[in-house]
Amino acid sequence: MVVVAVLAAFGVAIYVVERLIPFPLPVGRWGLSNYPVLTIILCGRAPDALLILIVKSVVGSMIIGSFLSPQFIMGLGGGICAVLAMWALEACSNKVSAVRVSVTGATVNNVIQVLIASAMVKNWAPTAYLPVLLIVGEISAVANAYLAWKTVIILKEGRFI
Amino acid sequence: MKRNDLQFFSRLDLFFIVTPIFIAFFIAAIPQASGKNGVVTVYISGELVYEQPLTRTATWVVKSDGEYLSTLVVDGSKEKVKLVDSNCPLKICERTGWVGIGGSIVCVPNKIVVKVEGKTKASEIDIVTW
Amino acid sequence: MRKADRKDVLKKRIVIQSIVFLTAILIFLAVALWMNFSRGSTAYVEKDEFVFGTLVRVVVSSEKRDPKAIADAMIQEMKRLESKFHPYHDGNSVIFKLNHATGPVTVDEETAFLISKSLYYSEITAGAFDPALGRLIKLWGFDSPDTKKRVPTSEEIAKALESSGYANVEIHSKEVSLKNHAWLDLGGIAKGYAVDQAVRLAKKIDENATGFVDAGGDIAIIGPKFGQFPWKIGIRDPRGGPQDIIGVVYLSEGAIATSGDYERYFEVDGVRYHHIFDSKTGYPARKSISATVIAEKLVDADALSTAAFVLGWSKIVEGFVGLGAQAMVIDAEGKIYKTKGFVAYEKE
Repeated sequence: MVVVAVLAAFGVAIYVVERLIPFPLPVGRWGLSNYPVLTIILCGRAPDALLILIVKSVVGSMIIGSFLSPQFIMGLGGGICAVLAMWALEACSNKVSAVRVSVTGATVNNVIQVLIASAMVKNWAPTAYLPVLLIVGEISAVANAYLAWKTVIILKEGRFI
Repeated sequence: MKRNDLQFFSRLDLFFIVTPIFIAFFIAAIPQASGKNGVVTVYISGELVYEQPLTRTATWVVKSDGEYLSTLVVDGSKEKVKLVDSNCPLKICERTGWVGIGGSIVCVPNKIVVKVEGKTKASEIDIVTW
Repeated sequence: MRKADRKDVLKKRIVIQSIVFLTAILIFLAVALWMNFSRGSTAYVEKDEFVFGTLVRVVVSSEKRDPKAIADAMIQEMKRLESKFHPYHDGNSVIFKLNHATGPVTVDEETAFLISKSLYYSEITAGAFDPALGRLIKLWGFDSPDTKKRVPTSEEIAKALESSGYANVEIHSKEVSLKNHAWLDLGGIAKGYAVDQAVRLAKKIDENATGFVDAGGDIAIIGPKFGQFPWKIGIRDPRGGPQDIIGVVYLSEGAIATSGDYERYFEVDGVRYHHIFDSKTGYPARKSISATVIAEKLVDADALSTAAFVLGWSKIVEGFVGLGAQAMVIDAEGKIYKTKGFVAYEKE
């Protein structure tokens, strides 16, 4: 429980700070705040991942003032689908790699977010952002995977989890 | 026992990494494949009077009620258009020079609008202030 | 368990993983296609019309009302204001009547508002924006696209300057009088006002309407793109081609206007004579080649961009920030100056 709380707090912090990093598109973010979510998934605790996701989205967006905004709904929707997809991937095998889970999560997250955006504006235009989002998502997904992998090893060695 | 198997990377991951890139390129390619790759249209007083593909080199005389106004030049290899020999006083339309996809040439005195229509990507400019 | 068996199981799992991954993607694509065909899209209607001596482009979308009808209504409104404020030719124009009257004229509220606003901007910009340059503009031939342009003699200019300048305009509530035979030309501000009124009309018909009005490069936003994205607006490179951009700003609301020496001009002996005059000299202003102003309303952006163009980068232009406006000025050498707040519009 302590680990989950610490990771959730981490998530909120990254969620808020991440906005300051320049992004190649007028909308979107890098997705580094998904690192805590990924970590807990790699520990095999998908339900806790949902919890962390919701905490970081709700608290984070309240801090930056985007709670219940379109961006918030897109992010949460994409996040939930990503957690479900990563969970499914985990459940299928006990031998998965961090990169595989992370990249799957990022891809599902981006595709769903763009679909939600398209549904909200009732127009197909947001999909034009998808190529860049997918490529950017892969970069941060690999970065997240590395961080999460290291974290899991530390957590295991210290028997925190 | 289970979690000791956790790896950072395995060879199979390449497949997972390459697939989204593939999708990205696939989606990026859609607008070009389905949209028209550029059509030159000429309007006089809001009415469409001429239309031709941007890729066909041609010149076309712009006339209204038999009166000569201007000449449209389409360079198919450069995919650009311009107006020349306009009868208007300031020749702003001639000075506009060559324009490509998404651009337009306006001749206010003769109420001519030449547009180069075609799909532009979402990341591009919506409007220009000048 | 034997080794071979374990390997088989592993292979199977990899296959299952791949299939799950691919199926997921296929489902997303299927959903995407289904959504594409099952619902209509928020289409933007685009309508072009020649108003205010330029091509005005209305781009509007509405879920509640027919966007075409909104665009038509907006253009009607702009045309009404064009004929009302045209200074030189239209016999029905309020300004025309004013310019050809011998004594004080009582005008309607709208005209009085616009004249007062013009005088306000003249005062705070030390005459860089001046609505009473009609004589000068006509002398140079910039009163209409059909008039022959020429460089007047210095005597002619001196004479025109005697009958020019905002000091010759007096307004007491709704009573306007012009001294020294001065002529009003609200061109620098009437277009912006008309576009603002058109945007207001669109909002009245559907408060959630989105889109923009592009009146020859002076832009007012009706609402964000698809209701949530900012419009990406390129600032034209004053020495480049029509599609060359020197900067980009993002606007979800408000207005932006640019004044440049490349819009309307003629050349004599290699010298460029453009349409924005310095009320002190009577000649085209030379301090800058382009000035862009972002403000809440286009009427303000319009007047201030003209003033910034005439003044060049200066304390007065920096002071626009106090009026809630941001400016970018490119001087004659091509050097770019921006107010601090302008930079904020260059992101997101």
